[in-house]
Amino acid sequence: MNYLIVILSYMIKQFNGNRTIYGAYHILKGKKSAQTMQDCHLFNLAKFFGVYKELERDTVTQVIKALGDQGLIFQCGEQRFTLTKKGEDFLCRKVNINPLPRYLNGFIYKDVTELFWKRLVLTTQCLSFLKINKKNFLPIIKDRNTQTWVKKYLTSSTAKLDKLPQDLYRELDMVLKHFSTKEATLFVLRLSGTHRIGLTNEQVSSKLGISPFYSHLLYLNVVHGMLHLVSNKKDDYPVLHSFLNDAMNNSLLTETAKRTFHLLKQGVSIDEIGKMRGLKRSTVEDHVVEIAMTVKSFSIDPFVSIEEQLTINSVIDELKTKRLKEIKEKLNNNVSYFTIRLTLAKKEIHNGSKENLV
Amino acid sequence: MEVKKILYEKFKLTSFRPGQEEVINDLLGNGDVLAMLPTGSGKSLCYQLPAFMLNGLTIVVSPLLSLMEDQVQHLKSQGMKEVVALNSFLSNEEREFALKELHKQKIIYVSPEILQSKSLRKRLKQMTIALFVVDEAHCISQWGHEFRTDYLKLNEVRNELGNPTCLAITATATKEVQQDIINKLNLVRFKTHIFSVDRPNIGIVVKECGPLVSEKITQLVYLVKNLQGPGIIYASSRKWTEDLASILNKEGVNGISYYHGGMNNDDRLLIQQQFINNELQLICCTSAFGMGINKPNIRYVIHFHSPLQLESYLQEIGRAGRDRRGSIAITLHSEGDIPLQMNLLTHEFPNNEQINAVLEFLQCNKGFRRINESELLKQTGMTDVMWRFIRFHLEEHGVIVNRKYHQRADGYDHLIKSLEDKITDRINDKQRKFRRFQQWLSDHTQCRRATILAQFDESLIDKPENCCDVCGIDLNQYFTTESTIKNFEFQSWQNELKKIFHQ
Ligand SMILES: [Zn+2]
Repeated sequence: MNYLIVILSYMIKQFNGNRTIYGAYHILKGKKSAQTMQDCHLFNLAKFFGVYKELERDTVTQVIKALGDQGLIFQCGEQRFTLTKKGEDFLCRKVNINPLPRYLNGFIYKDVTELFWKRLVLTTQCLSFLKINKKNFLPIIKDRNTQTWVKKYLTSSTAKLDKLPQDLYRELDMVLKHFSTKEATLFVLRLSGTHRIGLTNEQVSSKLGISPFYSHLLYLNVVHGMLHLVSNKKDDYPVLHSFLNDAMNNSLLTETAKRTFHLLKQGVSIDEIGKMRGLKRSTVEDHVVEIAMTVKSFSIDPFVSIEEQLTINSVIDELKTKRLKEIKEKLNNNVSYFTIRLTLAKKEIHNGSKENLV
Repeated sequence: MEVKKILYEKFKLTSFRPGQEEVINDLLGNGDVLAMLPTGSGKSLCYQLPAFMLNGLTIVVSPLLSLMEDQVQHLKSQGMKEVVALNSFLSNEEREFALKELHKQKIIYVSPEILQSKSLRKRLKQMTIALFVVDEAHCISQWGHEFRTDYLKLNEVRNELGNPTCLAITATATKEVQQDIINKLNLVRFKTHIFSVDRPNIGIVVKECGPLVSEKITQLVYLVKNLQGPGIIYASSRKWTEDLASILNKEGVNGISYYHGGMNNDDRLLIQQQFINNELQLICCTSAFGMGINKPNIRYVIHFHSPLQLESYLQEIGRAGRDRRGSIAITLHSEGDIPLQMNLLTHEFPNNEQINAVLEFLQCNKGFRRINESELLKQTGMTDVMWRFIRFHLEEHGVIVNRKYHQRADGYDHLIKSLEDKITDRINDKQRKFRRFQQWLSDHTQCRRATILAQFDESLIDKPENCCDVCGIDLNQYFTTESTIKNFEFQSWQNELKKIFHQ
């Protein structure tokens, strides 16, 4: 929980008392709700979106207590905090020793990260074995989609299969030079080859003498950095880029939202979708908001009338707030949260605060 | 000689282990078989080999997802590709694809649940079924240690498929459980191959420790520092596995890691493979570890917490010494653990609150075409096993049909009452087994091996030299000063990357 203290202090600083600490928790967990996704951009915290999926509420409570006990934060409302002067100094000092990972960008890369990593790990393992003509080994990634993909990838590139180990090696060697020795080391230690099995994050962190959370962030930093470098210079990294070909497009939607999207396109209503899929209406509504936030071409008009959109937008501009509750009260509770969230989502995506989205 | 040839060509083996050949020959002669082969004796070969010789498809029913996948991966890594696992975790597309390709397979592993799928059964009915294998067959009996309600429907499925040759196979089943297997699967003319549960190369030791945890830890550290690895330490909770690993680490023990169900899949696989490849020499784990793991050279199993019953104990110590070399099983027994363990027993079953929460959930979502099970688990906080237990009883009462909920007009009090009675019965039975095993642990007067065998109506004929602590066993024989782990030398990331790609 060491480095989590630093990250949470940083988020408290960014929030500056405008959001509860659970806003930070949801960002770290990568909650795909309209509120959380909007907060990412509002407070410039998009890099931390979904970087700590296993985080538990209790852990956050403990960190807050520790920060309070040391006088690093000041409580300014129900579960809302600001950094004290002492807190600012603390954050400054900590970030000097272990800087915030610079390539980290959970918002854009959250869902591609795992896919890219798994393909890379399994391809690497396969090439390591094939290079010494061993065909039978236990794949270190069990996930069937990854296995199918890698199998297809390796069999469809038979012509260059003997060159592939060397090419991938060169690309990795080149791209890893963009990172610190510590980062490159922990990344390579997590790969598996014929001579050893890859290490887990925890094993790597104890080997390097850093906290598991920090080493996890550094690992994400390398992957996100790689994704950034590779997609910007695809001619320099043809092999790494080929791991991404099909991945960058629709992947920003969760699987379950994708299914809802599919049904919506067939003209099925929200209530019907709920019945068909055995989901609560509110869950399907979350999907619709998620789709509105992610797919620029998605029209919210079937769900919110043009007049309502105009009214809500003018209230947002007038109050200069994005807090749903305030907006709802201003409208005498005549509109639903769902309506407001959808309108906000559309506004956000049109403001272009997410340049990389489809 | 055909059999031996396939044994060598497919499995790279030159000889059978006791029991295997008999079972295989009977199956090849189209006879139903009930087989009990001790853990670690190569149970799976008994059906895998005939599967590749017989015309048609072999269906293997297996209770555990991870077990299935391990088996499939293992076979594939040996070059046998005509194998597939079907379970409820596949997406619809994946399942459809697998069904379409089914005729290309020789072995299909299925969960008992997925066998309830109509589309799968329809597809299977079009095919020639060579064998119907019920693995871990003790799961069919509520007297067994891992009762699975879904197993009770297997006979019906087998009937529907035209009664293909059946193999019911298990590692541990008392006479009572064996009879139950025969009844529930409706086996009429069948051969039995019951082999002793005894594993003569595993010495059995129970060390009495006082009520203080510190005493146990001191013992553990002493043992681990001296015993020849690789080894496994079993503990009762996730937290304990982590704590023990860190304590031993601080004591200077290298090559150690913990393993439990709370870790993510990728990490679990890494740890498991490191252990199999001798890059780790010690695993602290819950009972989640070890199923389907094929590691021949495990030299010791220590129970930091004892399991809740004899069958689990046998299964866990049975992971040692599959290479048939001398190995040792040590249980650190303490009266102080009993309250916690009694607690664990009841927690396997849903409590009143959870039962009510389930009914409430079903009531709220009564319009749904199908019960959303993952949502239900999330909202009620039950485990998968608990839910299946409840579902089975609701199905028996017609409240759930084809995964759809049917509201009852006459209220639920009676239903809840009968469910609670069932649970009380099961808990009482588990407690009875627990007490019996505790008795065995604290009895320092009779040969442990003989008393285990007695519970399976066997008697000890050849007592091994290193039998048990009661008969006298010298632990020094199992001590060593050598390390068995491969140390890997790390120079720089550049160098390491070169090694991986052989550059
Ligand atoms: Zn004895």
